Amino acid sequence: MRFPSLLLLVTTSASAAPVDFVREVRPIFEKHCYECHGEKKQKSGLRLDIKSEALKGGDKHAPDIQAGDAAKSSLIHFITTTDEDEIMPPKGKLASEDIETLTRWINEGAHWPDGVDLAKLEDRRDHWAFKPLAKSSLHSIDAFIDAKLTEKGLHRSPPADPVTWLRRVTFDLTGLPPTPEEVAAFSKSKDHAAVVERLLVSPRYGEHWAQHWLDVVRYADTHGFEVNTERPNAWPYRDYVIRAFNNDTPYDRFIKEQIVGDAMGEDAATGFLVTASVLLPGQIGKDEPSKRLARQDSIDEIVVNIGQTFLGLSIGCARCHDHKFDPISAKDYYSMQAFVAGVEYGDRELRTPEALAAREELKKVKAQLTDIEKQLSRFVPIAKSGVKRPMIDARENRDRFMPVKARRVRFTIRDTNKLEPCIDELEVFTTTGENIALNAPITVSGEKVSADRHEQRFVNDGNYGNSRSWMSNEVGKGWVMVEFPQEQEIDRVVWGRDRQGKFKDRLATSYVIETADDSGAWRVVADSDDRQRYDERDRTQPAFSTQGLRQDEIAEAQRLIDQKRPLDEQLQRISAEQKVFAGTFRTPDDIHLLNRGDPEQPKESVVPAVLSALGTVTLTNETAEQERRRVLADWIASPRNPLTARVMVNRIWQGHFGTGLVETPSDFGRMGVKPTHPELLDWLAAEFIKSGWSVKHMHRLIVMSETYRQSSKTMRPSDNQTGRQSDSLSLSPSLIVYKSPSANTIDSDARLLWRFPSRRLEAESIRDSMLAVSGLLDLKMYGRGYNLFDKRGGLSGFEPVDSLTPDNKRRMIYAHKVRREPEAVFGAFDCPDAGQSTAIRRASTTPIQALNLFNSRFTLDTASAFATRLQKEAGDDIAAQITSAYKLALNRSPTTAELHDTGPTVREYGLSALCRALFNSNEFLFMP
Amino acid sequence: MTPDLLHARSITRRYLFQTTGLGFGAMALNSLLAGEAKKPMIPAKAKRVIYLHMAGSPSQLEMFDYKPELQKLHLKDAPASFLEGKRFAFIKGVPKVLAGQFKFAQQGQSGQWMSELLPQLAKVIDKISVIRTVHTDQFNHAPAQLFVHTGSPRLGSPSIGSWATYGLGSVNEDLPGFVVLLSGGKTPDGGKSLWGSGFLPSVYQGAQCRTSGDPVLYLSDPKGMDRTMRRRMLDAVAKMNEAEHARSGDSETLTRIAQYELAYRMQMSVPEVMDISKEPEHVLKLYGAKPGYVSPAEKGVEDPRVLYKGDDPTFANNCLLARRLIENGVRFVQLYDWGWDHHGSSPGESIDETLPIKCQQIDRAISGLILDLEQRGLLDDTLIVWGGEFGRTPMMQNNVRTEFKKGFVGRDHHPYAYTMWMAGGGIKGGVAHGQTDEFGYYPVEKPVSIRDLQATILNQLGLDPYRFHFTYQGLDNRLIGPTSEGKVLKALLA
Repeated sequence: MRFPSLLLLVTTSASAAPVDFVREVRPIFEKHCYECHGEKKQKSGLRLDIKSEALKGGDKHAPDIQAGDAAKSSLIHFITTTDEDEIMPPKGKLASEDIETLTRWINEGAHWPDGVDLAKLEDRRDHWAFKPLAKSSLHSIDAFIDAKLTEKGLHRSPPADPVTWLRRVTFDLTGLPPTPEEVAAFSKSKDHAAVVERLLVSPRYGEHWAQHWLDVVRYADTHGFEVNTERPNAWPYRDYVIRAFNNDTPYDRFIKEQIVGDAMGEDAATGFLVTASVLLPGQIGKDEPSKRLARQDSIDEIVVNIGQTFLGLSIGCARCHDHKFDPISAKDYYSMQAFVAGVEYGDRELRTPEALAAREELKKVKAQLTDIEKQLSRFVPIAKSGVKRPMIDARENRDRFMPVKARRVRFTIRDTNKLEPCIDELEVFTTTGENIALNAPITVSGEKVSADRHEQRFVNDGNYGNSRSWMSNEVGKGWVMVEFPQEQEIDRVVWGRDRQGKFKDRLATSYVIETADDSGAWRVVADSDDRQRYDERDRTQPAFSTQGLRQDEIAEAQRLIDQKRPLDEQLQRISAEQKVFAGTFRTPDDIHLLNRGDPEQPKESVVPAVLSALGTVTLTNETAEQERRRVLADWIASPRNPLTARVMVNRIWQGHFGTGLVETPSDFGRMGVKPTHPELLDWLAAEFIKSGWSVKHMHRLIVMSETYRQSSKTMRPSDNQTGRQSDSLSLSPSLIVYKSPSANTIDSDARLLWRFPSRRLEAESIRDSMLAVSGLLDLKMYGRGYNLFDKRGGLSGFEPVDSLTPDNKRRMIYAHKVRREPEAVFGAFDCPDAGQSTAIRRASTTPIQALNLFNSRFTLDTASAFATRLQKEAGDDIAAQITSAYKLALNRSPTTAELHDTGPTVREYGLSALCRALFNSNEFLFMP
Repeated sequence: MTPDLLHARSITRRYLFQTTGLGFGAMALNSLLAGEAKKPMIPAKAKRVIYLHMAGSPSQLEMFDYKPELQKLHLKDAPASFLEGKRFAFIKGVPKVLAGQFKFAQQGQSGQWMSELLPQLAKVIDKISVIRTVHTDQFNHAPAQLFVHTGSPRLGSPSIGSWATYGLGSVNEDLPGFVVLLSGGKTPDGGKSLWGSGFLPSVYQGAQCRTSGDPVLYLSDPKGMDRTMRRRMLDAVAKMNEAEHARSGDSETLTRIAQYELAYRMQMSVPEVMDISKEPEHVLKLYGAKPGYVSPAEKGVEDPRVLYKGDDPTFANNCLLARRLIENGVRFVQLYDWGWDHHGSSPGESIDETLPIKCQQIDRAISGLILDLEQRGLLDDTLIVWGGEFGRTPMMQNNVRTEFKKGFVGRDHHPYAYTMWMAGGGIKGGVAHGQTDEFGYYPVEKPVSIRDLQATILNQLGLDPYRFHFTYQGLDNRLIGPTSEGKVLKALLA
């Protein structure tokens, strides 16, 4: 802030008696300041009606009152400044007597007697969610719900019909509709408990419920921010979450594994710590302040994630100032940072049996590749031997020469077809066939960095393709030099622009390869001069030149090349399978309290400590990194932590009823909404802990309740005894007036659960269900995800993959999640883009949804597959086809009227038109 | 409106009245849509906004901020006062000062200094308020763009266009209230979050309209499906949904019926409003627009910048489209033009060669837009905002080349002072607001923050920037952020 000059400072009048606070000062405050700096509002964090608060000061200029020094007190500055934008009160300047009084009062020591304040500072710890769980006399969900309904003069609705319940609970637990066979079986047995058990052991359960969790922790397969590059090893965490739900990992253990799984044999679980967007090293300014800010941002994300996910608290607000509403001070916040101050965002080696096996496999594949490469080299014409060598290929080029001793190899580019040259990998082979350039020390002429895409370290990292390459910073030229620890006998250099074959620009069209032995003398071993002139349009050349080879040699070379390609791909794949993006751990940073969150304004150092309003656990700064996280995890995952169990049972409740008992699932603080059924919430939390933190136990309790089983209908059942009669064309009288206003008026959202609140399916469920119903759904679980865009990460311009591929018929949780890039068709159905935590999904209704679900290629393809399935299963009879369609999509037979109505449509426009219409119907898209 | 469209609309209306029976007519249905126009909170000066964002950030020193002092220091080491404690995105070591590369002259009645790169805009400068002292606290593209457009450098907040449509609704029930048009061959670095609805309901998110192919993804009926079949299918779905409504009584079903109808109408109305070929020749000329032109730079190439041409009409087409959209009741039209990040380190991103090309692309287009709006009486209540996400340094960027080389003259990111301008919508013309120091490094008079700009835009739209909020996760979120530092720029108000 600017303190231009305190010209107007009034000198203290020596004559008058000391200023009396109550009589002289407070009336001024009361009249001019309390409106914005009093009990109701505390603009800029300043409160002037309570001594402790006033003397502490506001967010920006504290302390605003410097006892004894009016000239340094910002309070005086603001009431005297000539700057119209700053003057306080904003409505008009204080009278000069008032200014004088205040100035004098401060200069005299700002004497503010104790016990005179009229307002009382409320105790922010006095909040329901921070108190221990309350005991209750009721012992079932229905009892709690009924008690509240009775209080309001309402009562529960009658049960939904059994098939409706089956459809509801199947969607709810697995995200997919029941099959006609499951409907038939249940209609016979009526065994609700058996259905619930069947669903809870289905692997589909974990796939559905993991999605809720991933929404909250903002999981994505890209890094986010500006460059949004791929985060290729994020998926093991996604798989961990699916497995944890399927295995019913006790929730306290689930928490601990995510915070300190590295100590518990669950490496992938700690992916939780680093789910946020992050700037990669190349994207951060080179200067120290930029690095400090980026580091602060990345630790902040971890603390925010822990706070909102497990504790339902927005701790992040305290980064810049004490929390406005909750008892979380800036010190609390930074003390929380100290627990995770040794966590870095990065890949970590997995130590699972699968990863170890992959590592073994990797060795084998590498050996095979070395062998093939060696055999292939026999067919490569030797450079500078007078033979015209093939044209340069953007994919891969081999320069073979007579064996030479080399300590260094330099690859110099003299020209490109376009722009700055780019090389994805430079390999140097010894006569024994080993690539000694791999990870050897290198020097480059310069580089144009595009973090995580073009960096010099990628030129010999063993990874192929444009997204792991070096780019020179000069148009048409540049060089790379590799150095070996000692002289080696080499005979080949292999290099490429993009071995994945996507890019052909930035290709070195003229180059020279030189070697230097121990003496340091450079000699040219190969260059482009004896190659055929580069011509982009010439596509006649095969990837491997067969020029000058005999017929049998060609066949042999081709055989080797055919062997090599899948091995190359295998190599890339296995290399990825051993790592997880789950953070790396190092000696923790020293954490300081930062003034206004600015890393350039550090204040005192802090030690790891839990939120002071909720606990007393404190560590010293000598505590080892892992131990810090262990202690934090233990404190969160404790039955005594008042928030942990409450927050999770509320999330589970929300998963079943659409809205939690607490409507703000990640805000249990004082600004959050109070629970509709506090006693029920506490009872559930206690049950949860008592069951050994079993999430599946909570599901059972909820879905077996009568509350869950009731009908979702808005009107009284007596109004609708005629069943499906209203389907007839003659318009529906029930559209006109709701005949049961009472419940609707008292509780229109059904928050009190006088009926089951139906809701639209989530984006993933819609997509999965369309695939399931049309018989296309591929139930392959786990592993690297499939692409819904043509790129896996990058600057911009993601084009949706429109058509069905063998891969993308898997469930949507396995789709590669591109941060802040909503999927083309289903993104419109409120599918979060992992930009930030989504604790609750909205269910909006927009015309874009209608366009997507009506016209997209995905709908057309699934509808036509659905039609084919119907023809296959139901034969040629249209009525049978329609009936089968209704049973598969809606779990019921069509009414006579529906049969009658849809027949002509099917005859005229085909069966797939009906399928498309079904996919667009509310009945298909809504949880009944 | 075309006869087709009229017909479609009348069918829809009749259909709705018919199927929904007594009382529950189109009016009630309208209220279920997001589109319904709402009354502003405070008296409004502007009814709509056209926001022209030059993504990458143009150099204020070559366009609006005349700094003769830089000539004297040209290619000398930058004074230490420039560099102490400063961060740069790419500059390393001691950079050299770079003089403004183009001639400046005073323009219009108001005598504003402008460079020779904007000859057409110079002719309408008296209708514009130029702010020379905008400053931001972000110096990387994506966070800086997010900060300007959503009020937060992080992801997840609604864009200003979403706020505006949330606050004011749309006046045309056949078109989205917030439309986004792109040019320059790439999406801005901040990505689609720049027009995302954040924590606001997703009906308020910007609809990105493409200028070639389907203007909105999946807008046209699939091959082999004609309008009649579409209608039939829509009726079939509506019938199912009504039946469902009859069973469940859920009002959400009605909303869905209405949205399907809106989609049906959009299929007619969007292509029509997006078709600039019906504009008369003199209007096309005014903007420099060319209907149907698809620039090679817009074809998804890896580096569109090397394909830029001064007479490329893509941006001009978008400006003309913007007028058509607001004329048809769209509340907020957001244009993003990519390719203004002139570091001078690669071909196609220099101050000396690329900037003039980019300026040529926008100069006639923007002045045409202003004149056209004025002629149609729309300028008075249409606010135009122009600018980038930050400015550019008075120093030459030196990480690649330390010498001055043609085609590689560049400037780095500069968050401390840069130029934006506003026009129309209750903003005074001919104003030059604020003053930077002799090097254009810092504001010395009337600094303007991004918060001030946001507060001013909301204020013009009749949305009290301090009270206008949305409660999410227990907090009253505002565009201008949690503190009330943002001030309405009263000096610019007519």
